[in-house]
This record gives sequence, structure tokens and C-alpha cells, in this order.
Amino acid sequence: MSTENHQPLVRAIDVRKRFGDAEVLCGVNLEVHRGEVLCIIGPSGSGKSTFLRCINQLEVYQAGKIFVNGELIGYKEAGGRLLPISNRQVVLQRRRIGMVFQQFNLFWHMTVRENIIEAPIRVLGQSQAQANENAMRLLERVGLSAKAEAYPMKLSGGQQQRAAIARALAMNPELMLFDEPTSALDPETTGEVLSVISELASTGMTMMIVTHEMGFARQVADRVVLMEDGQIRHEAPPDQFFSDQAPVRLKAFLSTIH
Amino acid sequence: MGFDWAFFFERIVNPGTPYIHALGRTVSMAILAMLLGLLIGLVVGFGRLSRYGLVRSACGFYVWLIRGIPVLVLLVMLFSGMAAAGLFRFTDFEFAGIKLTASFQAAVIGLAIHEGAYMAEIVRNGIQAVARGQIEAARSLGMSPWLVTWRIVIPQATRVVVPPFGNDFNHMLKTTSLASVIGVPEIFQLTEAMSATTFKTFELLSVVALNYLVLTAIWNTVQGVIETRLRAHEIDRPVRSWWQSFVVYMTPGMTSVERRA
Repeated sequence: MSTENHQPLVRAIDVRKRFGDAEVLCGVNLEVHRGEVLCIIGPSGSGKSTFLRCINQLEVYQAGKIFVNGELIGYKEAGGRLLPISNRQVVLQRRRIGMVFQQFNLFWHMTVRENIIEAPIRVLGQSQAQANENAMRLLERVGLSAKAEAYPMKLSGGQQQRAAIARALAMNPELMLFDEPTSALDPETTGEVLSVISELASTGMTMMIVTHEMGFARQVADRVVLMEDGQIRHEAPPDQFFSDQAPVRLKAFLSTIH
Repeated sequence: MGFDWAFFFERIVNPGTPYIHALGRTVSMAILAMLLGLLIGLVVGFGRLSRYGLVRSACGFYVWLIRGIPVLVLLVMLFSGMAAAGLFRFTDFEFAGIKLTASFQAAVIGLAIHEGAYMAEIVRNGIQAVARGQIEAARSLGMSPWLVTWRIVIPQATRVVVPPFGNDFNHMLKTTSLASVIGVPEIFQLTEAMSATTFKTFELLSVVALNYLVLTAIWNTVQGVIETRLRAHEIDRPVRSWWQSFVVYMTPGMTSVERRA
């Protein structure tokens, strides 16, 4: 459907989330279009990660709406009220959303190849041969062909993160979420992970990236948003975002990181 | 009189059929009680992490209660106490051509109830040891709660559970001697019966002590091989089969069981 392609892939409307007394998301409004690379920056505790985690339901938001591909995430509307969807529905909604974590989170009892083929075989029902072939292709793409049979423990942080990206891609997602993918890495290995993400951006994958790497955001993003106190404070294409005309508050934040 | 070495070695080399049978009872009692205890431990251990408060409390109560009662008391209560109160009486029955005596059944069940409480704690710890992040990663890949448990939590929890499980099995092999009190003719009971007629008490006890030592030593090796296999990802050499695990475990300096990263 042609209309579907003009509709944003992700649409967040007044999303709210609280942990006990603390409100972490205070009405987030955001749209992400197909093929767009969006970088989210902001001070820690501003709700960036929580927002990302609400999109693939590792956290439950309590008010507002998130649509992915036109489908309401986490809730169904019944008689004018929003009711939580079943576990089974949650599992189905997560399939097309890939996520990359700060701590890589590879399965430690499996080799790199086994990490990648696990979900395609068990969730998508791919054959062993098909999943393996796909895994080897993805490993080549992230430059890890030689490490297919290695266990995560034997890999460097950068290698682990590249394997984790390959694992998420193996599910053939329509949206990739990156939650501070290089924050746990040393400067040398950060580069290799960022170049894999840049390469992925150039293929037209829709991506939402929470990052503290300003240079990277500037280079790879189509749009950069600043989150602060659970709200989106500023959004602009990177050249404007990082320009001298940026609002005072944004400049103040940017100056704290440099 | 001194220690009768000739008698001691004679008993080791030629223990006689009744003693061999008794050894069989000791080992089968330990294995059966351990398996049944593991089953109880899995149910209660997962139960202690249930999302339902009532299930958590019930499982917590089980652990609290059973860990507070000596096994010996538990065995006598099950076998004699309940019969005396007219609540339940174990009776002999045949299963697949093997005769299971009332006391043997009571011993296995009593030991299993006891073991289950300890195993529940081991299982709970194993589940909690699995990194939260890996569970989230599995979920984010669209794996169902069941798949996450079966493919990610259980295999990793198993690695954590095996050492304390092995410890408990070592303990169980020796705890079976308490079954002598309710009349199971296992090796300790036979030893006592024989010493009453031969008066070679110390020699006979030395033999039975040696037997327990051999049993635990065998288990030690089995456990080491299992741990080596489960720690494949921490060993420099690939371990992909039980045979390789055995070789690696037996090669000095190759085992990672003691050497953890």
C-alpha cells in the first residue's frame, strides 16, 4: 500500500511512564519515518533508554500511544479503553523490532553462530541450513566470519557488539533500536562498531540510536533529538542541531559533553 | 587383639552377595532420592520465583519446614510415625520384577523430601544467576517466555547448579546410611549386623567407610566431566562430546573446573 509508506514507521503520542513516584517519560511525542536514522541524545536519566525499551516492550508505558507500522504497541483498544495485550501478542510485536544493548547481552552458552541462528530457527521456523547461511552472510557483513565458532567470552567488547548487531539483523527487522551501543566500549573498539552501524544506516534501515557519540550522531543521523526530563526538547537535522544557531539549552548540554 | 588385616582385605576382595546387594540398595536409594529431590527442587525452586504470592509463600514454607527437621527424624516419622498414627503405611510392592520393600520406599521418599528443600534453593540461585540482560535480549528477539526459559535460562542455570548439586549428591550417598534405622538392608545396616556376630567391628566399619569413599570418588569424576562439558565456552580447547570432556578433565592442567575466568 502506497499510503503506508508515507505514514511514519514509529509514531509516539504523549507517551508517559513512571517508576513509582518518579515520572521518567512525561509525554514523549515523536515520529520516525521509514529509512530514517534518528539519534537520541540527552543527559543520563532523561528517559532515552526507557523510551527505546517501551517501543519493544521491555518496559510498559502507562499512558499515551506508540504505533509501529500503524500497529498500537502493548495495548488494544476495546470500548474506548486501552487494555494490555496478551503475552503472545507482545511476543509477536517484538519480532520485527531489533534491539542492540549497551552490554551486548550475547548468550554465553552459545557460539557466535549459535547466537545468531537461535531466534530465526526457534521463532521464525527457518531451517538450520537457511539460518546458518544467513548467519554467515551477516557475520561477513560485520567482519566476524572468523569468529563464527567462538564463544562470546573469547571476544573483545567490539566483536561482541558486532555479533549482537548481526543477531538482531538475523530476524530481518523493520526497525532497529540501539541503546547506547558503544558506551561499554573503549575508544579503539568504538570505531569498529560505529562503522558497522553507519554501513547499516546506508542500506536504508530505519534506526533509532541512543548515543553519547556526538561526532557519530552528526555523521550518521538524518535527524537528532535532545531528550531531557522525560521530554523531547529539541529536534533538528544534524547540521542545524549542532550549529551555532542551536538553542541555548542545547548548547549548554552539548558543552557538558565535550 | 589389634586390627585384623587379613579379615579386612578378605571383606574388600570378597564381600559376598548380600553385601553386593546392599551396595546396590545404597546406590539406587541415593540416585532415586536425588532424582526425585531434583524434581521437587525444580518445582519448588521455580515456585519461589513465581509471580503469584501464594505460590511463593507455599514454596518458601516447604523449604523452611523441611530444612528445619533432621533427616533421621523425617525418615522415622514417615515410616513408623505415620503408620503408628494410622495415617499411612508403606507396603512392599513389585515394580518391573524388582521388589521394593516398604522401608526402601519410605527411605527414598524421605530422603527426596529432604533433598528437595535444599535443591529448591540451589535451583532458585541458578535461575537468579542468569544475567537479566540475556533474558531481555532473548525477549527482544521475539522468543516466548517458554523459549527463553528452555533455551536461555535453563542451560545457563544448569552450569551454576551442577557444582552444588554434585555436593548434595556426595552428601546423599552417605546420608543413605540413616535408612538403616528404618530397616533398609543397605551397606551400613549389613555392617552393623555382621559386627554383632563377628565382633570385628572396627575392621567392618573401616570397610564400609572405604566403600563410601570409593562411591564419592567415582561421583567426583563424573561431576568433573559434567562440569567440563558444561563449561565448554570457558575452556581453550573445544569440548563437543562427553568423551572429549572426560579427556580434558583427566588431563592435568586442562580442566577449568577449578580455574574459573
